[in-house]
Amino acid sequence: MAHILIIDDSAMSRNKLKKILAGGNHTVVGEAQDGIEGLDRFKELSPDLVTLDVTMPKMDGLQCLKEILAEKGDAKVIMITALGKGDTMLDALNAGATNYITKPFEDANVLDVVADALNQR
Amino acid sequence: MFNKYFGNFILTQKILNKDQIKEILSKQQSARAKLGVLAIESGYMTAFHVDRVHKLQVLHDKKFGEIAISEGYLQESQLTELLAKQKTSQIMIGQILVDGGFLTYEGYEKLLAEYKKESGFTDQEIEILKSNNTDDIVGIFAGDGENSSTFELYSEYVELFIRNIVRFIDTDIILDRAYNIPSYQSKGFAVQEIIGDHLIETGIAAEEDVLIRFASIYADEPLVNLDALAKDALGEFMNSQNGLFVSNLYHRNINCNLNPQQFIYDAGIQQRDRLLVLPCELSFGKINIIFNR
Repeated sequence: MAHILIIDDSAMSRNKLKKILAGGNHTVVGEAQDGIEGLDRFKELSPDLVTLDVTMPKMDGLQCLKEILAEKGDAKVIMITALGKGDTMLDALNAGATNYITKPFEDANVLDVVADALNQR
Repeated sequence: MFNKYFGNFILTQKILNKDQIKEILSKQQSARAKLGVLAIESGYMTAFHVDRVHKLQVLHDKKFGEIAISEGYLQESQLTELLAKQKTSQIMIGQILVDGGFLTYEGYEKLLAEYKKESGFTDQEIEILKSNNTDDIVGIFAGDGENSSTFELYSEYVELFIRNIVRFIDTDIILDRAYNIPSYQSKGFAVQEIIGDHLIETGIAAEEDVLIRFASIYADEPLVNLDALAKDALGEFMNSQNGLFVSNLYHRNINCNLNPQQFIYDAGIQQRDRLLVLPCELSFGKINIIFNR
């Protein structure tokens, strides 16, 4: 199963995601609370997949996504947002995000989106 | 839903205690409402007439409806309506009170009249409460029935909010009527601003112990203090609620976004055009839903 990095400023969201991903036999190799820390941890850990919150302090999710993809062009990044529809999500997908998950989390949906992303070449 | 509201009233009248009410509510799924109780609730028959029909049933081998019609207490159309209602309705708390010997039919009739007077519910609103349709029920409490774009938006907002509370926090919810005030003061609340085509300040306010319990359920963590994780969970609830609301608006080409959520202590919100407060009684305490546009 996959090694995953969670980048999210919400401790509650990180905890929930960790529990859900553990239920799918994935390993959360690292966590970060903002885009700058997230980028550092991405470089350090080289995870199979990143879950990346859109709204965060210091560096937001969209900017962090661009930096991660500049670092590794085929990185798999799933955006996390409360806003399922809207320009921000379109911008993220156009910028190269693999997919997105909306809050509140549904366990099955999270694991399905992660599995689909891991199966994409 | 009517059973919960009426059950609460019965509790205040000290006819039954909390455990007895709980037992009644758990029994309600299995049984069928009796025509006599439905006839009193609909106002078609008095308790005296229902009692009389029951006495006549002992003497004649006839159904309740047949006797009620032959005695002139009910019309055919009313009986048809009550029979249809009997098929779809849950057993009502009144019947359990009567069957359990807590009240006579006459006592129930009086109690129901007192309840209508005290709650201010119209007959139509009581029918909606019995229907168990969440959106219609929220409509009763959401406001004063004014017809404005703010009110329409607010109704949509609180309908979604209540659905989310039922989905994630507590199914045991009793709404009170919303009110409009010039300013709102609270010891602590989680707030978030919706920006863009609509500017709306939203929030959830409650006493600290209630906020902790709310956060604990939503986060699925055993929280005992209003610490960073608890505040984060409250903010995340607001963020998810507002995210869904804004996504619904987006489908109608209304473009909004969200400012970061925050938790504020001992602060006040000043009314913009309308500052609406919807009180909700949950099983562990009262919360207020705030909507300021």
